[in-house]
Amino acid sequence: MMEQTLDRTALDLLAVAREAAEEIATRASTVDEEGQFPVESLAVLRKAGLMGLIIPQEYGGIGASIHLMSQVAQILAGACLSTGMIWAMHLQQVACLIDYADESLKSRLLPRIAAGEVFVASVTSERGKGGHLLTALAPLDVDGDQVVINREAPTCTGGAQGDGYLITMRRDEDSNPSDVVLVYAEREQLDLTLQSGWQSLGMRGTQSIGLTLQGQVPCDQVLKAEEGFGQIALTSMVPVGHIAWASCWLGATQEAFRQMQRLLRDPKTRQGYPLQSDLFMEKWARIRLELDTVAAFLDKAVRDYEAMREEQAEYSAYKAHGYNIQINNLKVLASEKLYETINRLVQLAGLRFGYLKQNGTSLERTLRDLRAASLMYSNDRLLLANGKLALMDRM
Amino acid sequence: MLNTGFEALLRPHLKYLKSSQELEATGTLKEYGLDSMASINLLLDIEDTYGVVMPDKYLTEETFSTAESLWDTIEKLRAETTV
Repeated sequence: MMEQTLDRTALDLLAVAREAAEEIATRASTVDEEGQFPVESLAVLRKAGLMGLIIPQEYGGIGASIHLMSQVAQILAGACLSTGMIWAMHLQQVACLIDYADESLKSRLLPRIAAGEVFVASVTSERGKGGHLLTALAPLDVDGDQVVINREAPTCTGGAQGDGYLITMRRDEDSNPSDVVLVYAEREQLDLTLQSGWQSLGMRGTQSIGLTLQGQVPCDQVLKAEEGFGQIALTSMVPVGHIAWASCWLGATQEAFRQMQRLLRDPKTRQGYPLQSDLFMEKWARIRLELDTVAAFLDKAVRDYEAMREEQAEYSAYKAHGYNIQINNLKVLASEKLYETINRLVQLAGLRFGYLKQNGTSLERTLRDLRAASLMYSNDRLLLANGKLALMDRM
Repeated sequence: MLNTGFEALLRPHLKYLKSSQELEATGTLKEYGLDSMASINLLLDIEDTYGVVMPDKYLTEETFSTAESLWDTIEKLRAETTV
């Protein structure tokens, strides 16, 4: 298994992703219609070795770059955006573990993730803190060489299906809410109570339910960063997250674009579209322009982030206003622009191929799915931050 | 001992500092709840109140680390502007 993954070139990897995507695509509409967590689709990703895509090879992973992660995300999300986002959020957690877990935790956990045994769910939401990623209310308790977790989360993607959970907690009873720690817990180490269901407009497969987590874990399952959780967030969680999410949204919209392109190229369907109309062509061209705009911004963000990782940039570089504006802008731009783009595609495709289900396209589902993009990790908050940062940043 | 006017300006920006709690001149502002976003609001407030413009070289974590370091910087700037 190990030798096999070591020899995988980027091209092989993309072929693996495409093959997985084909299988995932066959279940996407059922996942959506029935609001099911895509257990089988995730099993495909587990088997394909993609759960450990960015895990270094020394821990049994593929050791892929962030650039490759972005490409694989686009492929998978083109098949099923719910599955793509679940996988993207998993990798976002995995990135934090790779960068900040103790060696003892890494050596026992990362090979299992790479082998597809562990899907890591993220627990950052909490009632009463207004969606702030960088704060936590429920305090961690120390009990000898164990820490005690007692935490509610109003939304947790794949909350019922996690094999492991990465959870933000307040450092202890006496700490401020901004003194956050990130702690990993195995499903077996927790008592889980599922609180609420997920009846949503789109992203129905993510099953981002509410739950309560209680349990005890060894102290080495608390991630360590010299400058606290802010460092984990700014160097790993936020950039990997925004890059992976934007890649998923882009991939799903690109797939919708390809479907529209097929309608326009197929002699049987193109009769319904005024291809000789200048206005129609302009609308079609603008869709391509929007996709290219997001792709270019994403590519730049990926390159800049990879360069920072490569040169092992100091934390101060990750705190720079310009960097934070860019990584926030990626999320805002992709979520807003691609929702507009899919909306334009639905309009262009028309009632039958755009708005109705079961017509051989997934435009309708993608429109509903992408409506969530600006709401999850809300753009309002990111724009507020960027507004302030833009007052200070010298361009 | 903190300048009372300055303390009154500072307090609303420190979300974890209770009104009954003493604001120590050398206490870490971050622990009183001054995050990077709040420090931008505080900067604007200081510039308006004291009629100074804080140049980029002073916009560092060090300047904003304690009430004392911040006040020293303001004093320095006021001295420069009155010369």
